[in-house]
Amino acid sequence: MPLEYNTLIVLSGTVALGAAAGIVGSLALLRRRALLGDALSHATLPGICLAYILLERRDFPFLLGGALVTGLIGVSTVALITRWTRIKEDAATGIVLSVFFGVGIVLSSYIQSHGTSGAQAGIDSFILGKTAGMVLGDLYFIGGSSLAVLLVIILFYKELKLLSFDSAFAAVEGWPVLRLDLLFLVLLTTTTVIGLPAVGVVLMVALLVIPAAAARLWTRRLGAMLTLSALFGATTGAIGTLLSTSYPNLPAGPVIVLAASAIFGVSIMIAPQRGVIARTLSQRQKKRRRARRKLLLFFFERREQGQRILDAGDFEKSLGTPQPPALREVMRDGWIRGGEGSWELTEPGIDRSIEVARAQRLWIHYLLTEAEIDRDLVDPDTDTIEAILPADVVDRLQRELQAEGRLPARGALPC
Amino acid sequence: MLASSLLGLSPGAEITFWNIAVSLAVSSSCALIGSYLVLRRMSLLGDAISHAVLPGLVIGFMLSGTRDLTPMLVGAVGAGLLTAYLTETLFRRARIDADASMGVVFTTLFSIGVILITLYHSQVDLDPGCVLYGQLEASAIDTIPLLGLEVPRQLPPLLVVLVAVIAFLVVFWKELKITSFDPALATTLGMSAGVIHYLLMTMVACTTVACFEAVGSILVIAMLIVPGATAHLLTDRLGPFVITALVSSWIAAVLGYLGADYFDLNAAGSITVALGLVFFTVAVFAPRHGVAIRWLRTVLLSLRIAQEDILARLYRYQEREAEGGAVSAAGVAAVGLRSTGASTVAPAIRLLATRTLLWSRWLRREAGLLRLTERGVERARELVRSHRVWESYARENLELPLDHLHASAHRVEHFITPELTSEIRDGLADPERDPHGREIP
Repeated sequence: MPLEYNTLIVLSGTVALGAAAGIVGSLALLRRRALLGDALSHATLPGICLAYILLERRDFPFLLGGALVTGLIGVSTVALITRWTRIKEDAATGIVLSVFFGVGIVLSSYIQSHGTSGAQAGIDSFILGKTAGMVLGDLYFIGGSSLAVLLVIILFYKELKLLSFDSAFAAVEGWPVLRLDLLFLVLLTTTTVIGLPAVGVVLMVALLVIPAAAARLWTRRLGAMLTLSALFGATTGAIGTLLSTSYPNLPAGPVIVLAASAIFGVSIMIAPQRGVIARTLSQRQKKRRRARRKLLLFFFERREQGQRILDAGDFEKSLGTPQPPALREVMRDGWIRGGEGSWELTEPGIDRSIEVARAQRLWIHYLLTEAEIDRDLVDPDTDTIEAILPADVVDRLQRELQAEGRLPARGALPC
Repeated sequence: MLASSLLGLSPGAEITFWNIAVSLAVSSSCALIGSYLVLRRMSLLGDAISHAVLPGLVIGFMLSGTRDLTPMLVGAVGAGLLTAYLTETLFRRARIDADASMGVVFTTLFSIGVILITLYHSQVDLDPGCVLYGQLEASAIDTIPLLGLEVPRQLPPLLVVLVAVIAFLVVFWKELKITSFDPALATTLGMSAGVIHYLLMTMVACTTVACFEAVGSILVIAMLIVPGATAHLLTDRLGPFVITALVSSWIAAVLGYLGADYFDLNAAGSITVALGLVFFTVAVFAPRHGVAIRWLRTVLLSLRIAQEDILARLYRYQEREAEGGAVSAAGVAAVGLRSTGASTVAPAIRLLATRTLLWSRWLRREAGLLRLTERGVERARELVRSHRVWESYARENLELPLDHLHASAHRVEHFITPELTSEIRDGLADPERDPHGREIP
């Protein structure tokens, strides 16, 4: 599909906007203020309406200026309510969100009954977003403001980073935390306001939250998270714009949000470590390793009592199944040999089972004697005791176990 | 219309009557169930659910093809529970912040809803604007017969939901109370906090849907959150809390509707604004937690501290005079104005303190100088006694250095009772002298 000049312009505007929102949203997410953007965007509606009533025409920068003013008033109101009354932040956010939006609706109905015809349409496009209605000048405005936001974030990267992770430390270090906080709020408000014409008041918060939450799934590093989030935001903007130019009767906001949700959905499936697939795999792996260890331990304990060869009946009695699923795996590892109803440890299998038993007994011994943990609460399922306890403690525990004749070792086995 | 003859109302007044009836039904259900959202610090879940029920509503609508409430209710409750479940799963499993999880889930669902409405515009008789700010004004026009009266079509389902909400609160009163305030205790008592949570979410979804069509989602959100927050500023007990929320929502509903009617504005928006005004008024003037009252309390406390500082300082001057030391007249004259040690009280308050002390005859003027009256001496002695006793106590028990004693004593002297002072004094090694060697009066 060859892109028309207009589409290209809209595209670059929404891409810049998506990137800015992704970055500012990440900072908001890390400061646990993800939904502040929701209150903020709803609080811009009265400003848009007031600007319209004052000017009596749709002058884009002026409307957004009005939005900026009431948006900032809304954010400050959330802060004042939580500071001066006993109302918690969630309720304060909800109050500002609904009441400011209510004021906006009232003003908008005033415009409808007193203003010129078509006035309502101008306001309505801000509620659910309408990229199609934008003219070139609007887009330069949006693109320029987004770039300005990005530039300020790059300039104050170090300060904003510190503020996001440890504002108390920043204060102790002598950074002007209050002023930086204000800077952050101004960035958040500016981004929200310039996003309104594209995404709309109701869904602007999605553009702040979703790319950031998706990026958070992929990385723990701030720089990487901001970059990814910007990338996701830009992609979201691009996909959303292309879709809504293909289907012009769909409101732009929901389409853009669903593009973001799709990126989030993919991320939550395939992200390394925190993604659903990665977590399921690692859990299954852990479970299998546990089953293998349990089986080796079983062989070792029988061996200690003098029984070299085990059959299905032994498994049935002690493990509840005649053919434990882990059996095939330990045979593949070469630790157990046999078949046809009888199995025994191989030479390397004996070494491995000794390791497992030793770690388990040391651990139990430690928990019971040194940590004084109740016998019922001890979880003996570990072979990483050296990783947890200091070497001298492990040495002492070994000597104690040896004195009791319970330290797993080759020499201690009956045959 | 039968009601006009039955109730003796003019047609215009009848419309107002039924519209107010609808808004009262909406506000009652929302305020009751919303109180618990505010208490549990889940206000924003109310916001999220009232957005997220939209796709459920639309799907129910599309499948049944009617405006019948039951399929819409089923769809919406499904969507509401899905929101609560997904939010919790994202929070627990993917460790995404609760706020952010909510933001992801509800915006996605709401977007799906809006797109469905736009795509199937011909089948679905809903429009996005109506979803947000409703058509409360029009409720009295679209009527159905009920018990011989022509009532707004939306009223019967609203009443059903209201009854259901009341029944839910009555039946699970104890469980809701305990799980809201102490989930751990609830678990030890064998209640499932999870079950109650999802029941509450179901009720929120039902309420939202029933109210949605009549008044739009924004008023639903406001009605869920603002009355509860208002009540939170007025009371600490659950019973009065719920009642206060209810009453404040009624006041806002009636005032807001009448205001909208008078100025020809959107009714849902106007009621929301009224809710905000009620909240604002209460936040400023509430008897215990109001901003104004707390400010007044701070001013009165500052005034008392300033008064006591002046009394104690003059006492010390007189003490020094009696010991034969020289006290400059200017020093005494300035005592009402000068900053006294650790005092952080504003100059205006200090001036007021001097005036009030003169009026109430703790102080008198003597040849242009401030002197303590007999009453004043007595009170000042008490203060200085507390001060010095505390210094001795801090020296003996906290082992503070000599130059650290004054600041803490200067604070404590205003709050310690005479009984406590004498009790501490009895425990001192030397009850006659403070650590600086001055006599304890």
